[in-house]
Parts: sequence; C-alpha cells; structure tokens
Amino acid sequence: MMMDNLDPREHVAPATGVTPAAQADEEMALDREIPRGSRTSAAVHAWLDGESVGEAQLAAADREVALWRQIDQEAGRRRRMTTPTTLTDRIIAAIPKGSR
Amino acid sequence: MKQSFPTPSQEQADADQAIIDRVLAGETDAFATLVLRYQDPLYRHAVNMTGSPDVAEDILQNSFIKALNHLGEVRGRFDAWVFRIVANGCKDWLKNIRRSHVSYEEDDQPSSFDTPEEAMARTELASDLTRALNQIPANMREAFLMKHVEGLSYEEMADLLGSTVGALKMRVHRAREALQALLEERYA
Repeated sequence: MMMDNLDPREHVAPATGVTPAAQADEEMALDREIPRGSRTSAAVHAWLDGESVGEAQLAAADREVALWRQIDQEAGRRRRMTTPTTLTDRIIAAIPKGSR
Repeated sequence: MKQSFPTPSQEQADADQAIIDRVLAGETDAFATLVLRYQDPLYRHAVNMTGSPDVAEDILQNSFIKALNHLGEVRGRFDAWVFRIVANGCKDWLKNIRRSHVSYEEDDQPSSFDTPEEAMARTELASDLTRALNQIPANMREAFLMKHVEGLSYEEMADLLGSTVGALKMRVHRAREALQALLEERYA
C-alpha cells in the first residue's frame, strides 16, 4: 500500500516536500530564470514589509510604489476569495458517517 | 468565524485538537468543522499557486480526505499540518506539469470572489499577475502569496512552513524582484 508522506519533516525540507538538494537546485534555477529588470529598492522592500520608511524615500521610488499599490489592491481582492459552496459540499459529503 | 492563517491562539489549537479527538473516537462528522474552519485560506493558496480554480478544487478535496485518513498522525498544530498537505499537493502538481512539458495557462482566473460584481471587475493586472506568478519558482511564489495575499508576518510564515524568518524574507524579496521586472513595463 502506498503511503502518503504527510510529514515533510521526514527526510525532506519542512513543508516544501522537497529535499534540500532539490531546493538548492531550484534556488540556482531561479537565478538563471527570473527576469532581471530594475531592482526593487530597499525602501520599497521595507515599506512592503511594514517597516517605517520616510516619505522622501518613497517619493524617490514613486513608480515602484505605484506598481506595488496596484499589486496590493489585487492581492486584497484575492484575499477575499472564498471556497465555492459546491466544493465544500463535495468535501463534506466525502466524509464517512459515524464510526470509521 | 475567522478563516485565515495562522491559528491565532492556543485556545484555537486546543479546540482543533478536541475535534480531532472526537473524529478519532468515531465521530467523523465532526471533521466538517475543521473543513469549514480552514478551507478558505487553503483554497486561496491552491488557486494562487496553481492559477487554476479547477485544479485547486481537486487539490483541496484530496488534501482534506488525506488529512482525515491520517488524522492520527497530527503532531502539533492542525492548521500547519493541513497547510503542508495542501502546499505539497500544489507543488506536486506543478512538478508534474513541468515534467510533462505541458504548456499550462491559467483557466481564466479565480472564479469565486465574494460578489459577482467583483468577478466582473477582473482587471488586466489580475491576469498579468497570475501569469507572472506562474513564471517564478514555486517556493518564491508560495512565500510571496503568504506574505502579500494572506498578509502573514515572517514569523507566522516560519511557523507554518518550518523555515526561518531570514530564508522566507529572502524568498519574498526575490519574488518581488521577479514580479516587478515582469510587470513594471506595463504598470509602473
């Protein structure tokens, strides 16, 4: 019987379900694959991380700030996404009744 | 009912454990309470990781059934445990897609926003963001979504993923760099 590995802490990196070597490969692949445009400024990273950032620093990165405000708005919309009731019904219907 | 990660208190964790105990004692109907409590953040995560509501539905259903069948193996917080099952389900699906060389495009967009008006208000940015997310590695995407969609702190993310704050901060920052590079020409 095939057993699902539900605890990724066993032999693989926690939560990722991949080995450290595979993860390192993926990180290296990232360097090759991700597009390189202008760097996100340190001030914008700090602002997005909820840290205190001066008005002048943000003003100097106004185009980045405008982009991230739009992305944040879209992220907020996704945050309100809920599970379709048909899916909830299917999952609950699949739960065996009574004693297992 | 609060439906976001992470479990906010020890009280909630204890309540989850009490339900688990009831299910393991044979009262399997009680599992529905855990489904209702955690389905929304898990569904959101699966939709945003895969870019497909249909795939997300399959992953979520399979994950909850797996969780039920292995409930006796829960150690620690249920929400973190079930999150890992869903997260691994998403990554397995993404690996299979990549391995099979199937060119996958998201099937339009998430379909279950709060209101029909919101669904109608889908923007080009929504579509472009989904496409951009699909172009960055899964670990980066996962961290970005937890930070920016679920609004978790790095400490909360570390708890759920079993990783370190530093590693997750780096992943989020690199995801931002990549997304900005992909989107700035059109939106900045």
